[in-house]
Amino acid sequence: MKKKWIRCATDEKSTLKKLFFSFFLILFICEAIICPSELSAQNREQISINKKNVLLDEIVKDIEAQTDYTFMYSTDIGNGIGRISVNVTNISIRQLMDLLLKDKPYTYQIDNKVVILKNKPLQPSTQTPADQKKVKINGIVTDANRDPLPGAAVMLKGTKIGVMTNYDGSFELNIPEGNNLLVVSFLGMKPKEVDITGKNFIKVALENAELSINEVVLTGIFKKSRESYTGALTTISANELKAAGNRNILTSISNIDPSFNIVDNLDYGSDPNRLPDITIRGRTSMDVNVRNLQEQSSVQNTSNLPLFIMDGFEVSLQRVMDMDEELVENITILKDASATAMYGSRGANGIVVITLKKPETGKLRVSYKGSINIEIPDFTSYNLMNAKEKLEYEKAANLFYSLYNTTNQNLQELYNKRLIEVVRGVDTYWLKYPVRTGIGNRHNIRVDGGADNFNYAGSISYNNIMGVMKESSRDNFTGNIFFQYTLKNIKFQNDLYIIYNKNNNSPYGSFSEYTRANPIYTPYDDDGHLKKILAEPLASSNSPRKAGNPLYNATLPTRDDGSYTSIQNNFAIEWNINADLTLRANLGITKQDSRSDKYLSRDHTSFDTGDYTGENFNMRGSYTYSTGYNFSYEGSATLNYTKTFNKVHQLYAGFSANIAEDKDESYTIQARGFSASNMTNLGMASAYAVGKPYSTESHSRRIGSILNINYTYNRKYFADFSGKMEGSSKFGSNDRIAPFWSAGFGWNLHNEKFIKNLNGINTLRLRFSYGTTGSQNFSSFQALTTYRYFGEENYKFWNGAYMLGLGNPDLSWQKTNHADIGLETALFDGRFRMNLDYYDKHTKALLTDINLPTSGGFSSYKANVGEVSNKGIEFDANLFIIRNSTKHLTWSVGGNLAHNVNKILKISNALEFLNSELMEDAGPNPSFLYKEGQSMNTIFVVRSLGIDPATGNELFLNRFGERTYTWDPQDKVPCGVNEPKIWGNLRTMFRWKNITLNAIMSYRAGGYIYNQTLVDKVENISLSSAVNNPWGNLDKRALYDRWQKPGDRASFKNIRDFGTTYASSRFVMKENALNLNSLNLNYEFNKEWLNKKLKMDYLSIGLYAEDVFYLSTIKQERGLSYPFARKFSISISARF
Amino acid sequence: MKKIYIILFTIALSLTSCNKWLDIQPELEIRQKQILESEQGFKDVLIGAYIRMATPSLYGLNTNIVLPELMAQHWTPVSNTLSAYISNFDFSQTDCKSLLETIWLQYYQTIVNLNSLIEEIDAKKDMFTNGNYELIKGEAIGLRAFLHFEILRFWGDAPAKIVLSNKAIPYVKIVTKDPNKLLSLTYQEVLNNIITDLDTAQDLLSNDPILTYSNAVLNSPGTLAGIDKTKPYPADEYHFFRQVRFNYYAVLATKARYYLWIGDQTKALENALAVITAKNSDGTSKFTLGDESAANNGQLTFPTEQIFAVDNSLSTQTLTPVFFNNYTAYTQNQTYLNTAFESTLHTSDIRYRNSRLWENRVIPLAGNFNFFKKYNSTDSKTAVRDMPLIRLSEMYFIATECGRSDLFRDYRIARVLDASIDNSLTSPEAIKDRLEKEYRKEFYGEGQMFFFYKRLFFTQFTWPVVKNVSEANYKLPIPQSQSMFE
Repeated sequence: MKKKWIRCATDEKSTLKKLFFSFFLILFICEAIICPSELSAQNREQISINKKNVLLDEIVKDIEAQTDYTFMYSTDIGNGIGRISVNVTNISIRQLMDLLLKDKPYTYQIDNKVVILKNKPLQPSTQTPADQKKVKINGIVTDANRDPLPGAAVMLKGTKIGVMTNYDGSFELNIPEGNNLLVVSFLGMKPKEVDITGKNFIKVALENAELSINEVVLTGIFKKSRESYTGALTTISANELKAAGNRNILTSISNIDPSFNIVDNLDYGSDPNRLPDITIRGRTSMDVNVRNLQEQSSVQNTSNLPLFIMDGFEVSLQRVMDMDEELVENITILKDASATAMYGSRGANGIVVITLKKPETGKLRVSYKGSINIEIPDFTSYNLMNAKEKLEYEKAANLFYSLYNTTNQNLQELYNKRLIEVVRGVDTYWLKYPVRTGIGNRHNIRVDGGADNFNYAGSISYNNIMGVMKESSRDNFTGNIFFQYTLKNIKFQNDLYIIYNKNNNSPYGSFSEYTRANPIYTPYDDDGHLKKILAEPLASSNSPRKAGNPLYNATLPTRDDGSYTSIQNNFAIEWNINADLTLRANLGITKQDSRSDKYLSRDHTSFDTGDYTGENFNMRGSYTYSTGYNFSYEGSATLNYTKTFNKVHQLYAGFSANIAEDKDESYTIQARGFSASNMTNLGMASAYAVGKPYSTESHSRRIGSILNINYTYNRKYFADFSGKMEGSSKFGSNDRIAPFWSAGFGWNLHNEKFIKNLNGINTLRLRFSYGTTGSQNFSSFQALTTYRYFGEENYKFWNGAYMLGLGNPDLSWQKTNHADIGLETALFDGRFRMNLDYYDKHTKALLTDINLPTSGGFSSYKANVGEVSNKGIEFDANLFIIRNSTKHLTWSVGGNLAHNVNKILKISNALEFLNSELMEDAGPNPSFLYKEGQSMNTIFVVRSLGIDPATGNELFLNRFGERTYTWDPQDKVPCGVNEPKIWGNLRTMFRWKNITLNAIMSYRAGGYIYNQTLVDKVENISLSSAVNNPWGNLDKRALYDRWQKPGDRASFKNIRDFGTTYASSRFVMKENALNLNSLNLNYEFNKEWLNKKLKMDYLSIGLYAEDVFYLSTIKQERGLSYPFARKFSISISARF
Repeated sequence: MKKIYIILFTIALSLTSCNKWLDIQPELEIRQKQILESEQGFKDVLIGAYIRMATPSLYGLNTNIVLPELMAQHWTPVSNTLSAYISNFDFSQTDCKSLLETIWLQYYQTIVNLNSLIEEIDAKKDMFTNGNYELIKGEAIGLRAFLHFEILRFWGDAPAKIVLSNKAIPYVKIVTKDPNKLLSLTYQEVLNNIITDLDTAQDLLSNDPILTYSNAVLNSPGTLAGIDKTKPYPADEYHFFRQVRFNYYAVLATKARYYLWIGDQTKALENALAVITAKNSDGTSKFTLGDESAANNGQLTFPTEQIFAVDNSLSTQTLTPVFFNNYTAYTQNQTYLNTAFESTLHTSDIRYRNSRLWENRVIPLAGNFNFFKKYNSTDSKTAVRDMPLIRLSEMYFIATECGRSDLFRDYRIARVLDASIDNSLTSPEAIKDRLEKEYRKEFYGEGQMFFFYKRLFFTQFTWPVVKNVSEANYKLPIPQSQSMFE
């Protein structure tokens, strides 16, 4: 042990050395630059400032810090000047002020070390000769993205005549006739000359001279320029997010970027209390525990979950789902190694970086957003029989026939009874009982403002989601307070979030109980009382099974809910050491407490079994109480350095060190035996349930340091390098420190002369990156050999301990080598934009089980074997078909496409063993085998030649290519991949004056699906099964499409055949699907009118419709345990 | 600038100490390094092995009541269930495979726990007090030999068919992840390993408290509370209850069993006699044959005879449903039982009389059933905790088989059998016939009958009905999880 420790320590030292070396290099350069300015600061006259896109206040603070000048100006002037960028060294205050106020309608005056800013005296009207005719010209000034630019200066060339643009970028100017040249300028943008001959309306788009805020990439650790960033990513602004839906952040993101893929959950539909499964760029992990591999692919996806980072701190998927969308300023999805390497062992599955809104300086602003959300159950995928069809089916399936006379007689009587019911009009539509139209509402109030060196923001929100199953709901209360205080060149920020969540599950149980209920039965008896039992079996074996009324349990007192409270506080200090060097330190602390309660009344039908008869009769009723606790902290210190040398060499370097710890605990107690049905309190239980209390614990720590260097030459060529050393408590003791790195290169072709000369190309950028990242989605103590004490068992008066498993001190993270080639283009002033990425993700050292001879005491241990490759293409394009500012008309269409090929390159012996076991498995479900050379989603079934019209039996093709009637599991072959070949979104945006229409559709094509409905509800119907019983309700195809008599060319086997249907290629179907994800109509009220009439800044009304329709080539039931819902909402946003 | 240096220095400092910081102690588990750091830890790991042996996967049910007894045709199997498959030696059924898989794994899991302790104990020798180093190591090594011998008796060939150079079973003495070190050894190697380990254990256990104190003293730790130093009590609580620990005599008894298995009757007799004649300091026998009073108290597992047993603290909740559920397979037909216990001849058999071993109950709509009561006290609601693995009566049988048929009389008297059978032991054949009957009566539900058949390679079972048995039936198939590496 000691030896190992020393070895590791020296390893650290050598890495540290490397880091130090790079550091000193940077520091050396820094000093060379800083020293003169330090000297000059002595005489308190010379000023050096390098600020990009900041408010005047910030520059003023800088000047005040460097000199003993103080400033005086009104907030209006501050706002009028807007955001500016300045990069000067060693100039006097007057030079600086001239530069700052150049082209601005303000002037200054220095009086005894006090700089006073004021409006420029209006000169034009006085100077204009009376006889000169005036021309009125209107216009609008925007940036390259067509976003309006308020505060831009529009000047008549060569004169002092000019105005500032309004808040929406518009201006109106009276100019003397004959002057035809306007100069439009805005700090940080290239000034533009516009000829106005013969025009009375102009629109001007200014191009960036330097970076603007949209061109900044937020990686969660560093802030980088998009222009010289080699990583593949998607940035989503708050507006885009709003336009993409009104449900939760996760669905909105996936509506925008298809590579952020929410796996469709057929089982849980629109259950508000289900966490979705998400993958970015394909699956890279196999389930850690091979024995857990189920035939359903959905189980395996949790280990592919991306990392969520909020303002620099890791947050859980649940937090993101419950987060208030209104707090979000911007979301960045990092996909390739260049972008994710700095997250080291957590980066391989992709990263979602969420940046929250910061308050804006200015007067107090109050904003409100409220919406009413309506959810309507969607049963279109259900194709169930009505009572008449059901009875017809029962007769066709020969259910009312028996060889024995007496039984036959009884069955005939039963048929007649049922016929009477059908004729008298009984046709219960069971689906309607457990559902409702859920009407939820959501409110958010936000207050922000600030002045001088103190900014603040606070918000409170409430979101009440009402699911479509009765009484299922999710309520979130969110509060947030943000402060920022600036003291000279040090900025303090504190951000506090509190979330309280309460979730209720429906007492109506699983939706599938209602889809199975026979329409011939009625839930209420003739007197209107609820039945407990719908049907009692006859004495013979061939008879309807005892069927309970699913509505009955819902009427009992029950409790099935959970809640949590989460508090997160992030504190940051930012110190602008000098113009080039910034140090930022963060500390985030999160604490979450949760509980869940599940109470089943003693009358619940699940206690009608043998376990609760006799002596155990009084043990009916159960209560499960769990409580959870989580505490985590994360601290980091980041040093940023930016400098331009000789105007062409731009260097950015960042160094960051971080440390984090996470601890989780949960306890579960079960009790039973409730004397009365309505005693829904744990303390009323008469006994603890059999067994012992249960608890889980996980605890992990990590520490790391990151170096990031970015170099740009002449804004044409750029290179990125990131390196990370990370130590994690989850790794085995032999391999505790892991290196991760990435390198990227890019070329801004549009800055090359030969492209510049071509008109119409605004952006043309090529980038390439390669790097290695890791993932460590495994439990905290997997690397250790540990012992556990026996709990219940003892030995006389002694206690005993046992080994839990063979630890693996060599256990390490999964390594993903990720290559990405990307192309970004913008043509014709941004009218057409297109991005294309090709990636190749190669994951090695997959964590799986290794089988051992069982004489080792354990059947397997965890090790790093296995390789998976994901290759794919992502394509995104957007086109403005109409962009007419005069008529205020914009119409754009866009779409994206994703394609991914997953392939297993290597598997462990444990998986091979499991494969051989699965190949012997007989059953109706397909096998998902992990086979080398195949995708992880490959469906293995026996090839089918269809139903023989003569016999109604299925004909198979065995592995030797021969026809056979016998199904042999060994004949299973790959029959399609359960992953679409291509998928993506189509979107369109239409804006006319104040009305905006957004529509987003998603599509999938070319994937194969094993149609479970056909298996469960049409074919694999068994008299002995409780679930797919012929007496319960079935899909209409069970009546219409099954073989009934010789000569029938049917798709499904003999209607009278109740034998098991085995997995065959008949049920593997190609899926092409189209879904209208989101439709949004938004109306913004006219600002002037609002200002005058309502004293409001902003008011808009939005209408949303989500999941409006779903078209698929496969007729399959969706939303089995919980139905899918269509969602409509109306929202109102206002700001005062 | 100074500030930056300070910050960098702090970061550097924290990095160097990070390895320690990254080493997290789990709360629900204990690391190997930590548990095997104290004498108590070693004690706990050894006890853990016994507890595992007493779980239903091994001697709490499977390896004494279920598997060998079903193969010996002692129960009434229910067709198309596990009990029928095992009774018919049909080990290709999935249920059977997984049962054998479980038993195999549990045996070796117990062994790996013992090995983890044995590997560490020598380095920590100085830490132990009260002779616990020898005691713990001796028990662990002895138990390792015992368990491997049990595995060999199940998965090995019948002794008559053993070819010493053939592969038998793995004999594992280390904790390893190297599959090559976990493969089967030859019979010769396995047998050598077993006896070597037993000899080592015997040496180490030469100061076993069982040699110093009587079982009566060792089984009443309650008197320890007001400890009287003048009285002969062990100083360490860990030294009590030697019968449920792999004690010095358990080593000898296992040796007797072992030598008989390999056909060395001289050494088998020698060891069996050493157990039979073991005396306390006051001259009384260490182990005494159970008598009428014990049987009358429902102690049909005869605690005074137990040379080695395991304490199953969950016996009631596991065994009661096995023996007393309607439709259980663990019953036997009255007529067959009367034959087995020779009820007309031995009317006073202390085990069989007064429905002591079997309780006849009428189950409505199902019929009459004889429920097995050996493990349950008279009210059948609670079960005994000590599951016997080696009893004194077996030592008597071994001695009888190895030429001391005179000792059989002591057993016969204790069980109150008819005296006429003393005279029937005239030839080895007659002895074998008598012992077949006595093994069945004596070890019903304890799993020894099957090994008697196997050792003497019976090709036909005659009780309860005639059943032909082949050589292959005697040898359990090695589970696939092991055999795929072989």
